[in-house]
Order: sequence, then structure tokens, then C-alpha cells
Amino acid sequence: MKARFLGLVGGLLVTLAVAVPAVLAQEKPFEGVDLYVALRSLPETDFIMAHVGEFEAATGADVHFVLYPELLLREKITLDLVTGTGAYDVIAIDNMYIPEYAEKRWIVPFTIPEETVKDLLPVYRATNMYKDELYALPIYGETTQLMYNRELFEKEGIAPPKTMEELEEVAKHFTRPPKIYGIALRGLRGEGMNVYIWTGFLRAFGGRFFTKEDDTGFPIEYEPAFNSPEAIQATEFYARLIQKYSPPGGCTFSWDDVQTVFAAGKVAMIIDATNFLTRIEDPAKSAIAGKIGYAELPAGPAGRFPSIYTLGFAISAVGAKTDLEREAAAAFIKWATSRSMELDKALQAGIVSVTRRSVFEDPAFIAKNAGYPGWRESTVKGLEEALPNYRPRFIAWREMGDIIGIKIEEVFCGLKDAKTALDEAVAEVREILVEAGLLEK
Amino acid sequence: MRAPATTKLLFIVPAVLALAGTALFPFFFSVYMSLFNYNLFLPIKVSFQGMKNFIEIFHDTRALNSFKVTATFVALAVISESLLGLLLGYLIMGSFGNSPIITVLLLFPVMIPQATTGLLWRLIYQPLFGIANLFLSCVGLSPLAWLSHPKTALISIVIADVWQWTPFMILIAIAGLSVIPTEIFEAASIDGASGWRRFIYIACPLVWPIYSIGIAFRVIDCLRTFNLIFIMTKGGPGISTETVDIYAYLEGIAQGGRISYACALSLILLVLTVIFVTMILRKIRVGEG
Repeated sequence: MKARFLGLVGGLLVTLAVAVPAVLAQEKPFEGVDLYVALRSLPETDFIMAHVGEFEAATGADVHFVLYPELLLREKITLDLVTGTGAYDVIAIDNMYIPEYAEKRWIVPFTIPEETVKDLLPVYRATNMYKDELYALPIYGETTQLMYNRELFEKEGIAPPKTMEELEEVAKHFTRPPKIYGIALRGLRGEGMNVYIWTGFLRAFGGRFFTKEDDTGFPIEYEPAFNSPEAIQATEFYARLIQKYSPPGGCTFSWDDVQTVFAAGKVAMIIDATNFLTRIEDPAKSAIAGKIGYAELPAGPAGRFPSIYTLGFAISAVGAKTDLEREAAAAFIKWATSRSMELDKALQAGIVSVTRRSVFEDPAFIAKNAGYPGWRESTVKGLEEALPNYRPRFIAWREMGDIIGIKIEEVFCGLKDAKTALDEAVAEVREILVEAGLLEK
Repeated sequence: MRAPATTKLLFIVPAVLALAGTALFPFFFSVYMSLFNYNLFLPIKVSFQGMKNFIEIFHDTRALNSFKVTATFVALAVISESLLGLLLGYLIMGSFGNSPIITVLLLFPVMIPQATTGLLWRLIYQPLFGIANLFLSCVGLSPLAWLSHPKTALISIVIADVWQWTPFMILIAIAGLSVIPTEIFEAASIDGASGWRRFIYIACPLVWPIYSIGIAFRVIDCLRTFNLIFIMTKGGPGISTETVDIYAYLEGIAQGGRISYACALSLILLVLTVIFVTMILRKIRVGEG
């Protein structure tokens, strides 16, 4: 009798356990939850914002967007987290900031389903992880590639360069000032500016940031090594490209300047972000729209090293305090970075900062971008080759990267020779690493 | 009937509290911060450092450079704007008088946000398409890489600042000149003083008390110019246009997290500002005397 009763109760409990979540799932799980999202306006985020009604209708959550300009966004988020204000539940975050924020426990790790893991290009997941946990999913991603004026190359029977040596030869060939110049590269200081492109050269020539790095580029030992003979050679090579084959003022070009001179048909080729496509193929903004070729980066003695950069959404530990808020935030992030969202962005708004293999391989996406020869193939190839720690993602990177940016700009502008500048940079970076407790004095 | 002292005090209290909350508290808090080694990002044990941050500044070549850059920028910008403003104000006053249309026109550049001015001038200085080099080629000079050379970068930024703020100084000059009785100028012309002499010996001294307040404003403003420089050069090439504000921002918030050190930097700049502005305001009293 007693056993039967227990069995009945047990059965009832099992039924409840199965049925209750099912019922709840049908209702809106985040009814009454307010989500504050700090972000900046990009075609990607504009699209997400325009469609947020769908998420709100499905989940019951109320999403509020707080928009800041690029520079202010970082400042506002950092100050919000440092002071413990917690005004935002979801924050837009560069992949390079994740180590610092994760170490401080300002952001909360979350998990994604296996199918998402399989669909995301591995580097996009890896570069948003820290110590084996995922902290963000990208709403924007890019790598670097070679873009060249295809019409010009074809007219003169020149093939796009495959090695660094060829890169210099081709740059030299097309340099006919003031009509046209061979190449334009970022010169302006900044860990996300000149260092972002220069790193590809550093690694291609066999240089490294640290004496010992794992195969993702992450430091095993923190002894700086970016003043090695290979690093000096890479920096001299980069400086030579800028000084001899680049338009005047090239040593302080930002990505915007690089894009402008290329779109104006003033330079034969550039090495920069895959996302440039949107502007340089826009006939209203580009004199060479429809005449551009795309290729993988030229290889150096050590190979090809395309970049990786993402802007992702992460959950603020300071803002999203309760489990419910964190679940709602994670649900929002997964919705905003879902496959269907990414495909819609790509097909409806022409956005190409794609992160999923299935979107890259979608027939509609392929058809839409068919007019840009080599773009899709070299972008996917670049993303397959990119090191998650192309720029080392560790707590003191940004200060270290900023110092390198200043010193290499001095080399590009002819103020210092590469060895002096890199030696100085290493000395300054060592001090920071010692202060951070990563290196013995 | 006179209000009792307590009533007066009650009326003053809210203003004093607001001032204390918005100005004094942050000031004392940053003094407090500057005595420690707070770092926003690195896991460093916070401990009392005394004057260590301040002493370090005097051994930090980048910090010393930033003070030099700031001083050069302020000197070049304020002197050019003051001289041009007074001269143009005097000429405009002589030709058009104090006209509201001129006032509105002069206010246009002042109303443009600094960030926009920065972007605008970045385009003007663009070596290939910018009108600055077009202008140089028209007068037969070879093109310059304006913002890409340490010798020209700071001057180029000063030119942008002069473009934006000289109209403000012209307005102050017009305001000052319009209160000078015209009889004085007439008397001087009858005595045979030329236009130039009337400017030097009459207009300048009489306009000085008002004009110097404008100069003090410009000094304070130039000392904290941030957007314009950050957008045009980010402090480069190298560190040749990196002002104290930019260095403190990068070191404290944007790149490094050394917020205590950044506070110390800002405090030194604040002390220098106060000394400098007091000196200018003293001059006003001398002028008045």
C-alpha cells in the first residue's frame, strides 16, 4: 500500500517535472524582464535593433538599447563596470577586451548548443573564449585579405602577389606618383590600428610577440620578443612599403584613409579588413566598384597570418545580477547572433561580416556576392588560417599594443630606425609586464 | 526689511552643496586616488604610494613630452587667436560696426562640435585630395604631408583651432570695442593719429580688460583640447601631438588602466592651469588699475 502510494506520488512528480517546464516554455519566459544593451551603431547593430520586436514578442522581455559613439562606448562600459553601477545587462565588447573583463569577473560565461559550435567558424568561438569558457558571441567579425584594382592588374598583365617579395615588386611596378601608388597600409598608431595590420607582417616574417607562444599565439612565457631580427625585418619591410610605394602621408593613414585612397583608384592594392567590401563596392562611394579583386594575404617566410577581430555581445555580471536576467541576456545574445539573423542581415542589408559557415555556404549568399571575385573564398580561407591570438589576448595587451603602435608609427614616419624603436618598445612593455606580475624584473 | 543671516545662509546652501558635489568632491577624490596605485584592469594589490606617482611623472619622458606639447599648443593657438581676433575685430568694427548679421556669421564655426572640426580638417589636410595641398600647388609650392610629419602636425592642428576659435575672439573684441566712446577715436584722428596708431594706442589698452577674459577662456579651453587632436592625429606621429589630456586618457582609461597615475597627471595640469589663469586675471586688475 505504502509502496503504491509512493509510486503514485513519484509518478505525479515526474509528470509535473516534465509538464511544468513545457507549460512555462509556451508562456513568455522573460515577461517583465528589462534588458539594457550598450552598443554602437553599425549596419549590423542597426539591423538587430530594427528587428528586436520579434525577440520581445517571443520572450516577453523588454529590450532597451543605449547607443554610444565608438570611443565613448568603451569608456562608458568600463566606468560602469569599475564603479559597479550595472546600468547594462548586455555589452558590446571587442574580442581583445575579454581577458581583462573575464579576469575581473565583469562578464559571465555562457554555453551555446552543439549545432552553433559546429556552425560558427572555429576562430570566431576561440577568440571569444578565455580559459576554456565562452564569454561573447560576435555580431561583427572580420579578417584581413589582399584587395587589388583588378582592372588595372588585368590591363597590365600582372598577377596578384602571392609572397611578400612579389608584394613589393608589384607595389613598385604600380607606383607612378602622383597618378597612382602601389599600396596603402595603416600607419596611424593604435593597437587596433597600425598594430592590427603590422602583426600579420611580424608573424609572416617569423617574428613573435613573446619568446614562447602556444599554437594559437597565446603567450606561454611573457618575455617580449618583438625586437628579434625577424621582427625588425618585418617592420623595415612594412615601413619601406609605406615610404616608397604609398601616397604622401601614408605613415599616419587610418583604415578610413586606406579605404578612401583605394576607393578613389589612387592605389593599386591594399591589405585590410574583409568588411571593406561594403564601401569599396558601392558605386556611390567608390570609383572602382565592380573592378576589384580579392585574394589571400601574400605569404612571408613563415607563412600567411590573417587577422581576427570581432565585436560581440557579452553578459555584464554587474548589470545582470539575477539568474533570470542572465538567462534573458543569454537568450537575447543567441537570438541576435542566430543563423537566421545572420542570413537575414546578409541578404536584406548586404552585410558581409559573416561568422557562420552555413551562411558563407548558403546559395543565396553566394549568389548575392558573386560579383566580387575571390572575396568569399579568401575570406573563408583567412578565417580558417587566423590565429585566435593573432594579437595576444591577455590582460595587459591593450597597453602593450598601444606602445607598439606609437613606436612603429615612428618608424613608418622615418623618425626612428626599426631596431631602436622596437628595443624601446620592448623596454617599456617589460615594465608593464613586471607591474602586471607576469614577468620577473 | 533685511533678511536675517540664517535665511541668507539657507538660500546659499543648495548652491554650495551642488558645487561641492560636482566640483569639490571629484577634485578631492582624484587627489586621494593619485596617492595610491589603483589599476582598472591589472590585478595589482592596492597600496598607499604617497607622492610616488608625482615623482614618476618627472622621470616619464612621455609625460614630460605631453606637457611640452600642451604648452606649445596653448601658446601658439592662444597667441594667434588673440592677435588675429583683435585685429580683425577692429577692422570689422571700423567697416560694419556692431552688426547682428556679423555676430551670427561669426558664431558659426564656434558652434561646430570639435569632433566635426577634427574630421573636417582631416579631410582638408588629406595629402592626395585635400584642399590644403591643392592650395599649395596653386601658389607653386610642393605638397605637404600635413598631419604625418612631427614638424607640421602640431601646427596643422593649431591652424584648425585658430580657424574655429578666432571668430570667438573677434566677437569679444567687437564687444569690447563697441563700449569705447567714439569721441576718443575722433579726437585722435583730429590730432592726426593714423588708423594703425589709433589701434595700438587707443583700442588695445581700452579693450584689454574685456579681451583678457576672452584670453583666459581660450587658455583654459586649449589646455583641455581633446577631441580635435585625438581625431586628427591620435597624438601622433609617434607622440609628437600627444597632450597631457590625451596621455592621461590613454594611460588611465583607454589603453592602460593606471587611473591613479592619470589622476596625478591631471592634477599637475590643473595646478598649472590655475597658476596660469590667475596670472592672466591679475593682469586684468593691473589693467583696470
